[in-house]
Amino acid sequence: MSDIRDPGATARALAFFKVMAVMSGLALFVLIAIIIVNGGFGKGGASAVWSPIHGLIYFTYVLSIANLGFKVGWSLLKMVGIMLTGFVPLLPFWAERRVAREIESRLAGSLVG
Amino acid sequence: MLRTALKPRWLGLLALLLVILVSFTLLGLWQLSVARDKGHADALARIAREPVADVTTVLQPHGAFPGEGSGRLVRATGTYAGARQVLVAPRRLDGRDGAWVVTPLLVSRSGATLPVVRGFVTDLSSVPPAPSGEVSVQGSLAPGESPADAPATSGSSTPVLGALDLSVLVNRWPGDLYNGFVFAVQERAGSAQGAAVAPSSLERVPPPPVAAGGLKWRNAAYALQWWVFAAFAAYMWFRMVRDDAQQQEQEQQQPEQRRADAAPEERAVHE
Repeated sequence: MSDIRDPGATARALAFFKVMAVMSGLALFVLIAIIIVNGGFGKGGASAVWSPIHGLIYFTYVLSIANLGFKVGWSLLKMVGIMLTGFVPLLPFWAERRVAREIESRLAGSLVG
Repeated sequence: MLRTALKPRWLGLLALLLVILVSFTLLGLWQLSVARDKGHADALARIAREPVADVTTVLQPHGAFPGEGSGRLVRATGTYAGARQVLVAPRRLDGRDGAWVVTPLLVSRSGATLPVVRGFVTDLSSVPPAPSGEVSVQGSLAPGESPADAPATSGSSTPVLGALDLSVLVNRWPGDLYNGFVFAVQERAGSAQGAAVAPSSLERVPPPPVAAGGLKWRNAAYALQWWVFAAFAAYMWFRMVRDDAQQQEQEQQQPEQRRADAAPEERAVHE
């Protein structure tokens, strides 16, 4: 038997998380690209437009982590750890793969049990 | 739920939450003040587009420089005290080294002196004299500069200063002094719309551009994001405490459930 209480809601939360992990990973790349093109921090221009949008995408990523984490019983440390991946390039993609593998195998366990 | 919240674990996290709430709120306020400063810069840029005002309506001799005076277009009518003209060096214009030519203008309406940056010269030994007679100067207002040491050697017959420092000029020039100066854009002979007094071999100094705004909404959005994250941290704490409380409730109910399940068997045995 699985430790996941609501497999349907968990699967939806996982799908939301996967989308947001990829989006926040891409948004971070765009932000870095803009900063490099502008030649440094605080130069304004396109980053002035993109920074708040990136912030919004990141916040939604954080929401998706909490939404999933509470359903599958993650510890606070684990949730915060995954939230922090949003600050490092490439790491959200890695987190997406790892979390997907963990939750999918646990969900499969719930179907068998 | 309150009993669960008072567990040491949740109290500890509550302390952490309070730290997060306070620091994120302050960070948000800081971004808001940055956004306001940027808004102030926008206001200054707007001032430069206002109609030309008479300098006596904007500035008072020895009075404080108005907060929104930078870049304001003003007109002043009076006569140049050409003998007291000074240079401010070293200055650069379009990559060339030179000096600003600063001439005191005795404003007719108030009798006070207004420093006017008439232009830029590269050759400090041949400074064109100021026009004589009544002139009407139109230009961009600026506050006085910070003190700076005058260059050691100049080879110029005109006195050379290191900065357009009004505290130096007030001692150099007699009479009342305005607490600001003007980058001349146009000089006309006479008080009315006279002929333009062309600055021979004198290049106009463009007024420094006022810092451009346009970052305002980004910083306002940052402020909002700090507060949203603070609220989110509070939600996380609440949610974890609630989950813990619910779990405890279930655990308390389960033994009773087991007893209830077991009860019929017990009855069966007794029967």
